[in-house]
Amino acid sequence: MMFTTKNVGAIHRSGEDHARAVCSSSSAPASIERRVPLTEASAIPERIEAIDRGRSVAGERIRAAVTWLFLAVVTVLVVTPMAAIVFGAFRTRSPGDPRATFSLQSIEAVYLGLFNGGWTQSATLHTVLLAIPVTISATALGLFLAWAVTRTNMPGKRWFEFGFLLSLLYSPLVGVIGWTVLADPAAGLLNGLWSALTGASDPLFNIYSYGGIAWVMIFFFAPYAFLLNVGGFRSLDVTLEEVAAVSGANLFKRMMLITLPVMMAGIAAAALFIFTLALEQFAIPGFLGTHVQFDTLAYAIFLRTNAYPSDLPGAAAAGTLLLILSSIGLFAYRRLTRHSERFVAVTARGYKPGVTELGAGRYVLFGVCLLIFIVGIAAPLIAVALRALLPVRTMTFDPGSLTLDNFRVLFSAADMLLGLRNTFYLAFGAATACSVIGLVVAFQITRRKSLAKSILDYMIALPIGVPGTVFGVGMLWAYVRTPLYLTLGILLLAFVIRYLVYSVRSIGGALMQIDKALEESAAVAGATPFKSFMFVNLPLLRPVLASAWLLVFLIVMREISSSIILYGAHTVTLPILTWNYLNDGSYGVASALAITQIGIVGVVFIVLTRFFGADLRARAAE
Amino acid sequence: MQTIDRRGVLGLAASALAIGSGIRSSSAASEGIETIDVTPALISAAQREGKVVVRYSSPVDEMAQMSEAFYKRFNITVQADRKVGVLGTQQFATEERAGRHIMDVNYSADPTGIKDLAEEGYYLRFTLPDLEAKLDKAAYLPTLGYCPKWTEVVISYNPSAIPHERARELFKTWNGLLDPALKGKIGLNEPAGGGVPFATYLMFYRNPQYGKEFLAKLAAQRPRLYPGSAQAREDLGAGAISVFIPNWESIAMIGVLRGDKTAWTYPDIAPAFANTYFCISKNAPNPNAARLFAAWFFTPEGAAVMQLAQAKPTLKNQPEMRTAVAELKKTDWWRPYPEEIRWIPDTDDWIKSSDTLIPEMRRTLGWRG
Amino acid sequence: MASISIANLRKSFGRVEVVKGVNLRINSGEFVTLLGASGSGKTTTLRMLAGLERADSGTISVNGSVLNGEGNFVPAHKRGMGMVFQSYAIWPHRTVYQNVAFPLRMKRVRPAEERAKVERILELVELPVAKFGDRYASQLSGGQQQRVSLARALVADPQVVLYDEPLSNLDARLRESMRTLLRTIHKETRLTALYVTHDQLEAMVMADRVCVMDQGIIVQEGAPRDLYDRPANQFVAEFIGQANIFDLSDVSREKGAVRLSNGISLNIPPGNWPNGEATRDRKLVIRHHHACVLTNDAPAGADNLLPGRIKDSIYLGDRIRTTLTLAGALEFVAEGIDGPSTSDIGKDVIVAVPPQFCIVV
Repeated sequence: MMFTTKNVGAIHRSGEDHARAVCSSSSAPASIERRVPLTEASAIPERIEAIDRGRSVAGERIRAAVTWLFLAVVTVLVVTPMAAIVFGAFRTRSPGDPRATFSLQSIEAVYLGLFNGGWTQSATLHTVLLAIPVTISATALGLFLAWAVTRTNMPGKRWFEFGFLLSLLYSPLVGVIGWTVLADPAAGLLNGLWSALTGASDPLFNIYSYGGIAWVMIFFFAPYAFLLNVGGFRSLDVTLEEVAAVSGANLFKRMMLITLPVMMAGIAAAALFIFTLALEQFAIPGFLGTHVQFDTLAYAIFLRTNAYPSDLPGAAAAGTLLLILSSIGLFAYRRLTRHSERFVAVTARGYKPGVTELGAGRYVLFGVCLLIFIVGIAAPLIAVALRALLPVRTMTFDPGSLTLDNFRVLFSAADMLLGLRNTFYLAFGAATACSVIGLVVAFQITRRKSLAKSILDYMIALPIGVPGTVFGVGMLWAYVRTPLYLTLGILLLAFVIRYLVYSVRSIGGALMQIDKALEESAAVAGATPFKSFMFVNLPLLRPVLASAWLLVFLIVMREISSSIILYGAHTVTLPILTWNYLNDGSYGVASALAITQIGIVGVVFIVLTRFFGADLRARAAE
Repeated sequence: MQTIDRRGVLGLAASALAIGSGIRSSSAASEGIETIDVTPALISAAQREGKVVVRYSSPVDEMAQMSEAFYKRFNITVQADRKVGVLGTQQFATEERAGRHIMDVNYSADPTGIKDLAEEGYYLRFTLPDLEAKLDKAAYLPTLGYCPKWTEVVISYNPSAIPHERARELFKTWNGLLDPALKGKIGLNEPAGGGVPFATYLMFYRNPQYGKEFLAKLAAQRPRLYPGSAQAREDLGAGAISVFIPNWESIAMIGVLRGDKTAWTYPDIAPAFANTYFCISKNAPNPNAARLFAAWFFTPEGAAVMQLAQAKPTLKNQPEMRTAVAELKKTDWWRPYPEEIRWIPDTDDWIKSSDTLIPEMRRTLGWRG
Repeated sequence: MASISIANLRKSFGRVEVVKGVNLRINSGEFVTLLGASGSGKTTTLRMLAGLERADSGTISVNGSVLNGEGNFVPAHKRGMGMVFQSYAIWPHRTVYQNVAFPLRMKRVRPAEERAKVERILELVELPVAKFGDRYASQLSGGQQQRVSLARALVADPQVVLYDEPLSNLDARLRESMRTLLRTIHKETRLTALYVTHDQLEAMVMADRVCVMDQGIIVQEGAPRDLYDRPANQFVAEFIGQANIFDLSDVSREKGAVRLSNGISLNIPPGNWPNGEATRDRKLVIRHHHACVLTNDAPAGADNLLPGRIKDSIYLGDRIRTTLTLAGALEFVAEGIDGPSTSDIGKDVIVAVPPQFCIVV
């Protein structure tokens, strides 16, 4: 590399520290990797800057004002329903009720109840006992699968990549149907098979148990850890692992000592994500846990909103308790990832994804993955498909009784097309809005730190910390007076507020991994922050944006708990239809709907992965 | 979407119009209680409104049939909005307190909530002509809510696990559930799971031949507890459990038509009650259509629609027209509902005791805390 | 100390064969450079030696034991080598000390010994543990990071050290000081080393022996001076150093002379001919600095004089680069110490090329 102008040489003669001061706009510890782009690029922009200076100062102000306005709007939107919930928790009756007064009664019942045997005591204990092991196991499983699919030469990777995400396509209720058909201790098909084979009278599996609930939840949540870490594995700088290999670390040690710690930001985000989902999940423990009197907090809260006597202030107060639990998770996440620079793994150098050659081990890995897929994902799905083809559930399988009646009922239902259309509008809308807003917010939070932005960072995590039903009630209280109420708009707003944190976290995680040098070099080259964002970050972020989009899309496709409060006759969604069919005992039709939904979403999913799949291949070729 | 103010004004205007045309003020008007009769004037006023917004928690199919029949008969669209449990009442309360008048009729199962909201003045005080002759006292909350169908609790069993003769013998009383052979094979809807289970457990509490101890004895049978009855019926059909309580007859009949392998018997005493009531919003945006909808199902014509959905109308002297009954008559195990077993819960008792009794019942069945 | 033997090594990625039969022997304690343009297969060869890629065919053995051969593949972590990457590959979640100590921990070295070794090696790369030990990569400059990387590669006394373009991310000044450091260390330790680079200067400064790779094979190997003075082909001649390369219209080994396309004949001493008999497509190579621009008359009896006219001249501080036009529109570049009038554009001059510097390839 030759220096063409004297002033560039001057920067270098005065040493590293000077260079650092010149090119580092923030006080963050400067990575010296930014020096190379600087040397190449700093000569020209000085001239450009001189010309542009007058214009850019005003532009800077406007940009800052727009940014702050935007962040303020996001904050207000996020805070409003949460404030309504907290307000509700301190009332004797629902907000708006003229007889309601301020009182600590609900708060006391929830919090003192933890210690004096109140309604929250065992439920909270159960919630924690379930959420922690489920989080750890599901995260580990998802990571393992993500690694197998991205970083090994296992056969059938592309198929697995799709297969492991299948259970994201249907609601937890559907998983419950599937597992009940398979592993009911008295009538489960698997148990029937087991008895027939061995003559044993005791069932092999009992889905109605702590283990059963945890099992279903682990397989239900592992795909999230998978989805959230596939990108991380793909974009990891493999030389970090290679140098460990050369230094004498075997595959396992490389994984434990290098790969996982370096990816900790992404892993912790996935774990936090699963932890909050596990805390607020009511359907799985609700349907499977009542048999063994295993109450969780989310289910107990659901009962308070849904069964009578209703107790919305109590539900809101308990919502704050769950919020505290999930905040503990958030706090742990913050501690783990507080040194963002220690997770810089995508350097300014460019990188190439590396594949571990496994030799014969790749067939062993294939076998393990296939087993996980069959046991955890395919089996319940097949059971649901079977249920969709049966008029009534039976203990034995009789091919002669298969019928398409359930599908006929489903497609003749008046709401089916309406629900389908609404669900797609909402899923596309929320996914897109979350990605766009999430991109801006994530960039502001991770790159231009300030106290206010740190507060916003905490704020956006709040809505997911309360159970969906409580959040829905908060939205209802907050927005009943607005024209949004009972339109798709309020559902869209609810989903965006609630799931914004997902896109912010995953995009933020990726931003942490992209060396600041990349965008700073663009800035030095005269690019406005917007341009440097568009040209430097956006292309690098494309895979993570795509997966963040997909994540929100998939979640909205099956969202029940908030929708159930906020939907109206014209805004019915597919998950609500499923819920209604299940409530009416039409398990067959609900299963048929689930299969239909999986089919439709599967097509969308495949089309999308084709698009960004091609994108990923392009990156691999770099 | 219109602004709130404009909507309010429109609502008022519509009410004024309604009073002038369709709605007949009765002698009870001095007490603010309106008598709603299905008159040609009401029908034509309702038709001018063209639609009615109904919140409901009853089964989707039933409401679909009711809506369809209503539309066919009057050419008035029913916008049916399903809110299970107490959600409909809660939503309505929130709307009204915020000045949003959206719902016309609430067809829901929350007597406590209904009374509360009536006191706040959000529900219309109304009655039906010849009420005494038409309905049993237990079928309505006076001046507030009127229930078009009975919910009659039965004991459901799976005939491949318990043959019909054995079941009829065993379940002459609820004590049959304590048979040691049924240990681990009973499904119970949990007390917080809705009005039907609470009514049933309340019946044990209030009848000395069973008493609250009966629940403890049931608990000793290690029953499976279900959060909702639908899952229990599914499991019963599959044979995962042999018997399920409390089921109710009309929904069991729908299952029979669908091919469920279940049957049921009537014990010595069983709750039969009005589970879901029609209530009319005082500020209904479609006041005449609301009134027509709420009143029509208490005419023979409307009651027949309930029967079309296999529900048993509360309207007295309605001839049996349910197709499921015709089917069941062909079986050797079914017999008509024996009126002498009917136990009607006291609504006031219900409202007063549910707060304390539900947690107690859950504790008895094994929940901690 | 280890000797390396690589025989007929091949590797394809998909349909593209990147390494097409590399043969290479590295003696114990020797410092060998693989020099080549990007895509020449040099890095892939290095990665196969490290065990990061598996060869399609051929063998790699170190001290006679086969690391990669028929049905035999020793994975990277069992090869006991050290490696320095272009990207430094400093683990961002570990301190300098932890980075450097890692290979020792993998070998389960006792803590006291570990401490001593890490301290010594960090001292050697001029990053005293007291000052730098607790820093993270983000608190280091690029040069410091690369020195950590170097320390990590050397700390566990590897049999072989591998360098994958270690200096190419550093700026010129740092590169020079790192080169010096590397030379010092290798003179001291006499570790067997393979060094991959695309920078010919780096290759020549560092290595005992340079192997030039092109399109998947080693096209020439030898001491830096041999490569420079006796390039085996046009590629090497152009890749290493700067040279004038001329097509020849007539080649006669017997007469010891060649004729340029413009008809001028030049004498070539017997030692400057390539092996092999083929005479087609031979080229004449003359290094820029081997030519001398004479503004006065040529000394009597001098061989190989080329008349030309100065077209351009560039002042490079320590020397001057003169571009001349020869008869037949041939261009010639000469570099030498600044002299009078060599920068007079348009001036007719004579270029003298001593025969010993005229090489036929």
